[in-house]
Amino acid sequence: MLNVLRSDIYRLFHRKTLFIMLGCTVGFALFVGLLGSSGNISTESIITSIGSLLPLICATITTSAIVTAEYKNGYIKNTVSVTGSRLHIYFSKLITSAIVLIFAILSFLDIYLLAVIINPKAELLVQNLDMLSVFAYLGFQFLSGMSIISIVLLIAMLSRSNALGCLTAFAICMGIVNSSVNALSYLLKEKEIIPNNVELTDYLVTNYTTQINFYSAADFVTKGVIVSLVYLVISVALSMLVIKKRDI
Amino acid sequence: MDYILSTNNLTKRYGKQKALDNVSVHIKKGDIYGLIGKNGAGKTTLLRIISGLADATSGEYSVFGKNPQEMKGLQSRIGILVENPGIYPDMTAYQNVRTKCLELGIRDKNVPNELLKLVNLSYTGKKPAGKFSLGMRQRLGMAMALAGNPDIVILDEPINGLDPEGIIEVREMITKLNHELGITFIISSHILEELAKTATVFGIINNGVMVEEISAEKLSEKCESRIELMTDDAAKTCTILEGMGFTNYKVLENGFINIYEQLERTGDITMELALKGIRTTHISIANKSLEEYYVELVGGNGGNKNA
Repeated sequence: MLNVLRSDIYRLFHRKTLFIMLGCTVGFALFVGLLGSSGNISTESIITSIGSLLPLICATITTSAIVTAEYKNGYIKNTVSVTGSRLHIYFSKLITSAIVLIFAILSFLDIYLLAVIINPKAELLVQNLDMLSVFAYLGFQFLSGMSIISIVLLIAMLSRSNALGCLTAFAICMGIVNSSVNALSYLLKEKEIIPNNVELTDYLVTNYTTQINFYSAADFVTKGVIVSLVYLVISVALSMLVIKKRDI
Repeated sequence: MDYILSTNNLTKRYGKQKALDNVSVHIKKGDIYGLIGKNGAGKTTLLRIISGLADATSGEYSVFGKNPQEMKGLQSRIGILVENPGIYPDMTAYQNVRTKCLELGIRDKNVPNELLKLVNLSYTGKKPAGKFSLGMRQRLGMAMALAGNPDIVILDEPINGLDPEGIIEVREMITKLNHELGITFIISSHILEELAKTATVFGIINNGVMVEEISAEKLSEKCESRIELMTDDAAKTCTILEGMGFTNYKVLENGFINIYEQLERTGDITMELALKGIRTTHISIANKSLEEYYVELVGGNGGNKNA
């Protein structure tokens, strides 16, 4: 698997996809940074709402583009013929996607902070925070990001369509899925199919991605971690089944 | 006999349709195995199964004497170019080959250059592979298939899109690698005349069924020599031929008369015809081509260029 991973990482840094994604992330970060430092919107709310989603959107769309290109170009055939183990290929893709996500999150934060610092009205993020909270927050964002990426990876492998993969990424990250589930929840409560105290959105990852911030309560964060882990495990298990059973 | 690759009653279904029906193939080490069949015959399906890209519905196959479950670590000894070259359009030729080398655990940065030299693509420099011609892409795919010094190379329609020079280059490269390094090639094609110049064994597949496996020597015996004769009066000619003692001949729809005996008597034939007032418009000695043999074997119109 190490050989496949080396090859995937080599490809990641020798193709335009990653750099286009980083460019978009940097652009968004600059925009958001300047918006935040205007003083009208608080830094923390920007980081936890827009800042948690923008790198994620970029990373998930990049993942979909990379994986579907492998099927479209036929490159995955070369890899399957070499390794003999399709699971190695899948895990290599997952690890490569994790690298993309880390790049996206870090580049967003760096450029955002730079934009904030440059502006005279800058409000430094770290003044009121301890680093442990920041790392805990970033750790959760990475975990929830990976759970969404694993869903997009599954859809991309099933459909082999970049359009569908990107659409899924967009729908999940932009809250379209959240809104739809919210509406469904309301309907089911009206019909008394589910009790009133049950919120279906509590079982969606993006519910936590946008709401968890540096000061969130421990039990809320724990819920978010559990939901993210469940999505991650189920998506990975299904993806392993798809890549093993389906003809390339 | 030990075969480097063999299949035993391989069947592949897509829904109700059988793409392969109990196909058994036997390939010895050092063979250049030509898989012949028309479009949709099952050639690519067979190659996909033995490459590990698809699973058979039933039947089994073995490579290097091992079944697929025992193949761990041996997969890298097979190079493939199936359906399309599988290249990244925004990477250069060097980068594409290097990626394949990294997957094989080859970290020497000179190896991709040697492979590109082998397929005559070392001049491409920083040009992205997406801007290559079809022939260049095919050759790049072949370079990737040859990475890691494989023992078996599977090529699916490798000369599609190549110009005549490219076809000759590929043929010479395959023959050279086969003779010098003992690489076994499995090549599918529907350009029969080209395959006839290269392959040492032929597998003829039609509608998912392996019709015949035959060596090049046996095929040559079967494609027997004959006299091809064309005159301005076929019926009278036949009478004259019988008078001369010829019995093994056949009149074709296009007016040609094929004579399968006494090939040295072409001079006698033309003289006798002339004496009887029959004008000879064509006389030559010919062999049956692979194309003709294939068409007779599987049925179909005579004179099709593609199978």
